[in-house]
Amino acid sequence: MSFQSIKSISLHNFRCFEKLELDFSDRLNIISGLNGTGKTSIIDAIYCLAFGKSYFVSKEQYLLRDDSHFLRLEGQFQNENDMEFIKLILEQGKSKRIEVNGVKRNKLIDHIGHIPIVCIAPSDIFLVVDSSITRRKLLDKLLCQIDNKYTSALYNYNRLLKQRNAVLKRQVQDRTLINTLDTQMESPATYIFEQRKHLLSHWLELFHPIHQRITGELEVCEFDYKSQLLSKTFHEGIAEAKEKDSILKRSNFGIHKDDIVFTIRQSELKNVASQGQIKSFLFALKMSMMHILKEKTKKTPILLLDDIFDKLDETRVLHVLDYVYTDVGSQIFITDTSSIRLENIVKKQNYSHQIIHL
Amino acid sequence: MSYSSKIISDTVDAFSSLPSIGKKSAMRLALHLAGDSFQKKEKLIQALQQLVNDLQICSECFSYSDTPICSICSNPTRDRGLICVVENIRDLIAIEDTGSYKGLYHVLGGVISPLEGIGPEDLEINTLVQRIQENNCNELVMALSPTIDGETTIFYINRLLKDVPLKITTIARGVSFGGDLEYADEFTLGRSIQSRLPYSQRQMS
Repeated sequence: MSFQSIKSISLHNFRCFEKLELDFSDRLNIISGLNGTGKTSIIDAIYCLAFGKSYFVSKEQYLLRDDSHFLRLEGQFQNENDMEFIKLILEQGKSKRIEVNGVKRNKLIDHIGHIPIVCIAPSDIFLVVDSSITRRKLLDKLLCQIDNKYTSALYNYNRLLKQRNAVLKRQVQDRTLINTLDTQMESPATYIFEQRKHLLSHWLELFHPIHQRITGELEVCEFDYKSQLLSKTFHEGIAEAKEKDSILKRSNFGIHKDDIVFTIRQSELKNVASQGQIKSFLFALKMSMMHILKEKTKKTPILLLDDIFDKLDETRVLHVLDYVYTDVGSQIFITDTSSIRLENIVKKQNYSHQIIHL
Repeated sequence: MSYSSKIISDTVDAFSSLPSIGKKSAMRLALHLAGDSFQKKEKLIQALQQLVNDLQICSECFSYSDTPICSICSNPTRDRGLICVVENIRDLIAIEDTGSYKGLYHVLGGVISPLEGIGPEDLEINTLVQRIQENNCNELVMALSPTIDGETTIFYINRLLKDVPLKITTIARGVSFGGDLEYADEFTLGRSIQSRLPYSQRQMS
């Protein structure tokens, strides 16, 4: 297991910063400041260097400061004895450029997963409240990072599904063609199903002890994999759904209908849990996800925690901090509007840290 | 760009409507032609005129032809029991250029992709089935692109012909000849390992 960290960063025209240079502590970095001073921007800059895209902003043009026409991010990363300089340049009307030690990355996909990072932010709440697609995306994102075969199975399945739906929408539905597509979909669908099932049961095993540790009590949370393939094979299911598909003009059976149901004391989390409980749940979910990444990549990821203590009580904050500092042992970045609460805990616990006031 | 002559300007526009010809190249071609001898221009015009008036589609294989049946389909030395299915005429020419195929062809005109509005009925699939049933065909060689849509097309034709006593093969997918293994992409290399061949079969003519 090797330790991944970022030593320093420089931001140029990135979000609200015209120019900013920072050095970081290898362990705990607390970023504090009032609303709109750019706490999240610093976290996002680190994420951008690692993933080549923002965690928070969907349209790239909004990463540029006001009306500047380019931005530049530079970071110095360290993994054991290896130093890496990563540079990201975004110019208006040009494609993004990422350089590692002065060598340009040809494809963004080659860069993803290079620096392991786990980010936890308030927007993670969508995982609980939004529709099933956000949860499937979370699963896919993780599986694609650790399994190449999964990536191609998913690509093939999605393409075939689109073709199948296009046939169903036609005036005359070609039965032979639908049967052909069904045969082709069987193998990727079964592979995706097996991998998701396997991953989720492993994920849940890792989730339980972490959740228990940070809640400090016994809130029995679970996540159940919901898939039509649990009760029948793809071959049977797609054959049964054929009539319905033909009338509704879309595909009603398959792994694109999968979901994960999060529960607390056997009721659905989004219906009964408090904001704080959801937050603890999501934290444990992301942390266990990080353990899976750690197992597969053999690197200790950098942890970015954006405003996560907002709805947590003092005891939970202490549990969370102790967990990430002591058990996980990552380099940690935390944002908070006031540093006082965190400073008190950190001093009492004698953590090696640095406070960045904005 | 402004020209002193509308004729030149029209010629430039006509050229630049062709694929991979930009404004500059179009202008170079137009000016070159304008300065050329009459015979040369006449030759070009004749060729284009024939292309427009006399070019036909072969009624057997759907490739371009000067006669109702093309020179490949009417060649008595070609193996009539062997039909190679290709997407388009470009692929046909590529296979023909290898010099190692002695059978007939069938040009589909694309691959099945309902998303882009291409169904089996838009391709020469029914004519292929008919051709196989009417003639004594022993083997169908599928030379389609190794994409997911290409696979769909192969599967589909396979399904239509499931009751016809016929051998259906596909061209091999794998590492390119004379290439370095380390430069082959993971997917191709993986597939080559999976569908490896006994050493004796590797010796090709």
